[in-house]
Amino acid sequence: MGAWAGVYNPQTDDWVGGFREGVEVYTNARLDAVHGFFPWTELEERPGYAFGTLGTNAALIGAGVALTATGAGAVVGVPLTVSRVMRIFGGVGDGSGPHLSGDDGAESGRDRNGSGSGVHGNGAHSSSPSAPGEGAFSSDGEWAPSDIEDMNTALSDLEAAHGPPPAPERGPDARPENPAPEPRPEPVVPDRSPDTATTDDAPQQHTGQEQKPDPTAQEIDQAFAEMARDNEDLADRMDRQDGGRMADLDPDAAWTINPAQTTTGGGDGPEDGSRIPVTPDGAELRADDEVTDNTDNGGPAPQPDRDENPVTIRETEEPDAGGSSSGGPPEPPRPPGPGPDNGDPESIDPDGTSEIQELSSISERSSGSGFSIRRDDSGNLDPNDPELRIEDVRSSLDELDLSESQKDKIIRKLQETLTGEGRQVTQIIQSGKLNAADSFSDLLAKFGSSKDHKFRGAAAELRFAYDLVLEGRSARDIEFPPNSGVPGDDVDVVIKSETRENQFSYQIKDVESKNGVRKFYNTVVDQLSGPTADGTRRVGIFEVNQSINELPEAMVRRLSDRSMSSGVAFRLYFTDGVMTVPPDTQIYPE
Amino acid sequence: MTRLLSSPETTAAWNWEIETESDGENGNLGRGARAALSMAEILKKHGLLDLSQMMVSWHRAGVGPIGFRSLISMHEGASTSPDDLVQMISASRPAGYTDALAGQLELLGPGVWINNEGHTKREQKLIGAFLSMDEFAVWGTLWVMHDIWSYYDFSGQPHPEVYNNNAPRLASVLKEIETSLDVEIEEGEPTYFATPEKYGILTPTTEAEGLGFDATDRL
Repeated sequence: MGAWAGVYNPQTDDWVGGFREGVEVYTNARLDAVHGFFPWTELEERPGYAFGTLGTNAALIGAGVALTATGAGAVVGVPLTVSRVMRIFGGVGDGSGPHLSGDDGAESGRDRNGSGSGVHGNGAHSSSPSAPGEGAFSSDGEWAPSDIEDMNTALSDLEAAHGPPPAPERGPDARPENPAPEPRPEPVVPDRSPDTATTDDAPQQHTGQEQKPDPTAQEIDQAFAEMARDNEDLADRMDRQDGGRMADLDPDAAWTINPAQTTTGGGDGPEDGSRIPVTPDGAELRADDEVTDNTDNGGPAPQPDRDENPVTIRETEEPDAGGSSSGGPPEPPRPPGPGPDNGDPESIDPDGTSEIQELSSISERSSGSGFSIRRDDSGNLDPNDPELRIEDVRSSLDELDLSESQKDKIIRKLQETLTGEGRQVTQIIQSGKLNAADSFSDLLAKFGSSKDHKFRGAAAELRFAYDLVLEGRSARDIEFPPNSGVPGDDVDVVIKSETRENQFSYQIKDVESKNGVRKFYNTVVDQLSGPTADGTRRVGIFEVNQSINELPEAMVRRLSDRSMSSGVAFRLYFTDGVMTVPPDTQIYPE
Repeated sequence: MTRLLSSPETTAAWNWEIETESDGENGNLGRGARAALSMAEILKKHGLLDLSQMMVSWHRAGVGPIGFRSLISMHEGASTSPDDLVQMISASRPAGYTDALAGQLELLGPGVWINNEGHTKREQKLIGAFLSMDEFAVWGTLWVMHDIWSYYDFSGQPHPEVYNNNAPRLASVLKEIETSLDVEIEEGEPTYFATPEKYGILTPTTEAEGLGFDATDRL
C-alpha cells in the first residue's frame, strides 16, 4: 500500500526521494493492482489461472454486494466485498514494504495506553487510543506517513508468515526472534517510532519483483483487517459508507470471512501461560489481585444504556493461536476468551465467543462509556509543586467535616502513597467539584489509611464520582454512603433519585488483573446485598488494569450467572474496552 | 486488656467459593446448609462462635434481596442436621414470595476471646460468618471487626499477648475450613483497619517507635 501512495518503492525496497519517482512508483502500483484483478501476464503459461482469477474476483465482489443487500448476509457480505477489493489493491506493494514485524496484543495494549497522554498523563482521557508514531489522517485530511507504516506493518506481518523464514510465534511480551534471514539489503524505514523499532530483528522481506510473495486471500484479508483496526479514520469512513455495519463486525473479521487457521485455544503460543502484562509505564502487572475498594447494588430490570455504543461481535471467531496478530496500533475490543494472548485454559472453548455475545456487550472505553478518568500513578503531591500547594490542600480539607488528625493523615498520604496517585487525587480534591456530595468527607478519610491498596481503592471511587460530575451530574445527587454497620453491606457511590428504584448504587473495585475479577465478583454482590442498596439499581464496577482479551469466557459466564441470580449488573473497564453484563444493561441514570 | 473495641465496619475478611451444580429448586440451599453447619462446627470447636441463631436473607432470582429476613433459633446449634436446617429455613420463607430463595445464611452466636492475661472473655458477636448461594455456587465469608487478631490494637499500640492468644485460633479455623470444605481461602480487601493475609492479619511495618497505625479516628 505504501507503493500505491507513491512513497515506497517495492521494486527497489526503498523510499522514493522525489515526486517523479513517486509518480512512477504510483503508476506501477496501479498496474500491479489491475494485474491482481486480471493477471494477463499469466495468459500464456496459465490461461486457466488468469481467467479463473478474473472470474473469481468478479464473482466474489458480486457475491459480496449481493450479500450486503440482505439482512442476514450483510455481516459477511460487506467484508467479503471489501476484502476482495482490498485483495486486489493489496497486491500493490504487497509485502514489498519495509518489514516491520508486528508485536502482539500486549504490545498493542502498551502502545494504546502508553502513547495516549490523556490516558496516563494528566488524568484526562483519550477516547481514541493511538499508537506512538502512528499517523492516521491528520486534521486537515492528509494521509500521514505513519499510516503507511501501519499498513506496511500489517502487510509485513503477512509476509513474515508467508515468506521463506518462518514467522516467529510471539507471546505477549516476546520480542520477535531473529530467524536468520538470508542476507539482503536492509530497508530504510524513515521516522520509525521506538516501539516499531523493536521489531527490526524480524525476518526481512524479499527484494525484487521476482521474490514478491503471493499472499493468499485469507492472508490479505487479515492484512486488511489489520489496516482497518490500525486506522480509525479509515474505519470511520467505511462506517459511513456501509451504514456502520462494519463496526458490528468482529474486529478480527478476516477470520470470520475465511477462517485460515485452526486453534486449540491459548495454549499454542510459545509463552502462553507465562505472560506478564506490562503497564504503559513499563511496570509488570502481576495478577496479585490487589484491590481498591469501592461499592454498589442493583435492582429493576436491565435497560439499554444510553451511552452505549456496543461493538457487538456477530461472527464466530477463529483465533490465531500462533501469534500472528500484528502489533503496532491499537485494536478495538474483542470478546474475551480464546485469543492469541489468552493462555487461560478455561478460555478454550471454540463455541464460546457467540455465547459471550449473548452474555455481555462490549464497547470502546471512551467518555461515553463512563469512568473515563483513568488512574494516573505518575506522581504524588510534591511540597515544591507551585500549582498544588499543601497549604491550599489543607484549606480545601478545612471546608469538610474532617478532624485535624484526619487531615494530617490525608496530606501525608497524598505525598507518600506508594500508589503514585497522590497528585491526581489532590487535583480532584482541589477542584472542589465533589464538596457538595453527601458524606464526601467519609470518602476523603479513607485516604488517610496506612494501606496503599486502600488508597488506591478510594482513588478509584473518587475518580468514578468525579467523572460523574464532569459528565454533568450535580454533586448534590452523589452520595458516598457511610457504613451501615451491617456485615458486608458496603456501597461506595450512590446516584440519588427521588424514588429508590431509580437510585443507582455502585461498588467499585480497582484490580490489576482478571484474577481480581474472579476473586471479588461475589464480594461485590454481597456488598450490594445489604440494606444500603436494597431496592436500588445495583452495579458492580471493576476497573481492570489489563486487556479485555485476558478475561476468560468462563469468567464471563460466572458474571452472567451471578448477575442473573442476584440482580447485580457488572460493568468492567479494561485498558482497551468496556464489558457490560448482562448485555446493554443501563449502568447510569438517564 | 479487658475492653474489646469494635470497628464500625469489617476489619478483615476471608472468602471461599464452592462451585457446584444446582440441587434443584432450592437454589443450592441444601449445599449451603451443609457448608454452614460445617463452618459452625469448626467455629465452635475453636470457641469463636457457638451457633445459636441463623439469619436468612430472602432473594428472588434476577432481583436479589427482597428485603425480608428470617431469624431462626438454632437450639441444637452446629449439631443440627442439614435436612432439619433446610426444613426450618424453607418453613420461614415469606408467605408472599413463594418463589423466594434463601440467598444468604448468616451464622450468629457468641464467641470467646482471650485477653492478655489469658482469661477468656465472652463476646456476643466475636466473629462474622455467612454463606451466599445461588444455583451455581456457594460462597463463604468469615470476617472480624476487633483488633485482637492483629499485632497492634486500633490505636497502634502493640499487644502481642492478646495477638498470640487469639490469632492462632483464627488461623486454625481458616485452615480447617479449607480442608474440611475442600476450598481455597482467599483473603479479602485491605481495610482502613487491617490488611488480611491468607490465615490472619498482616503485621505491618511500624509507623514510628514500634507503633502501628492509629485508626481510632474512624472508630
